[in-house]
Amino acid sequence: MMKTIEQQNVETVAAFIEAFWNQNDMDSTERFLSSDYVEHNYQSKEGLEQFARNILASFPDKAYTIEEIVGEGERVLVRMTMRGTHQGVFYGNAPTGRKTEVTLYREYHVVGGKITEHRGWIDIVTLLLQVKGQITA
Amino acid sequence: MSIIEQTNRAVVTALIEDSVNRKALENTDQWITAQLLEAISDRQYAVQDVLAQEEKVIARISVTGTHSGMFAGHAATGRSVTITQFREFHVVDGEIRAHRGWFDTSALLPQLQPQS
Repeated sequence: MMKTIEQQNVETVAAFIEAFWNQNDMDSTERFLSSDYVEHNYQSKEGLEQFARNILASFPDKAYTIEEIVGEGERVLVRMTMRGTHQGVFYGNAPTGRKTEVTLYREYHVVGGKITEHRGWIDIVTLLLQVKGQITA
Repeated sequence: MSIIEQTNRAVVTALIEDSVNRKALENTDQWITAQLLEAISDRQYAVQDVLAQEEKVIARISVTGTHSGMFAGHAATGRSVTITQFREFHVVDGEIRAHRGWFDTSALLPQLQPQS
């Protein structure tokens, strides 16, 4: 059976998350993001790459697991868990070696196989409380 | 979108907009939720967006309320704040079989800073 456009879009987003967020292949933005890419959280494609480098410095073993992914039309919404060890400065907190585990959602738009837009949400309070050792992951 | 997906969207939207279901919509497995609900009073729920694919529906909901208590070390400001909630539903034959919710805190935190 032929894949629906939603199935193709879901596969594109899952492949981008694996390459960019898990394999830390910063150049993968060239393959996956459109030339008119709109970034709602980090200003721009360059801002996205800078943010990813910062997170990698704070949590060098970071790993993202896709827990749920839904596509409708050109949109794909994904729920993920990020796990990582706090080994670099994060929001002014010196490295603690503590384990963290946090939920985030990301919404992507995919047109013609390219990601054209992104917006994200994360439970930053839980992550900061884990880093500070006030709750355990 | 299929007829089933349109129906599922309608079922989920009606549930969220019926205030009878408020308690169910405030349940999450996040540690922070109890403190969050203590700190933000007079909460109003509004559906912002709904995505449906087959039996899965995810709603993005805005929760607007008053910052009237301590949250994450931030004392009450008395200001109106908006929290984003995602709630995922599994809908079969027009019935909600399971749902799970989650509060975003990344967009909330900057709203809790004292006015400079």
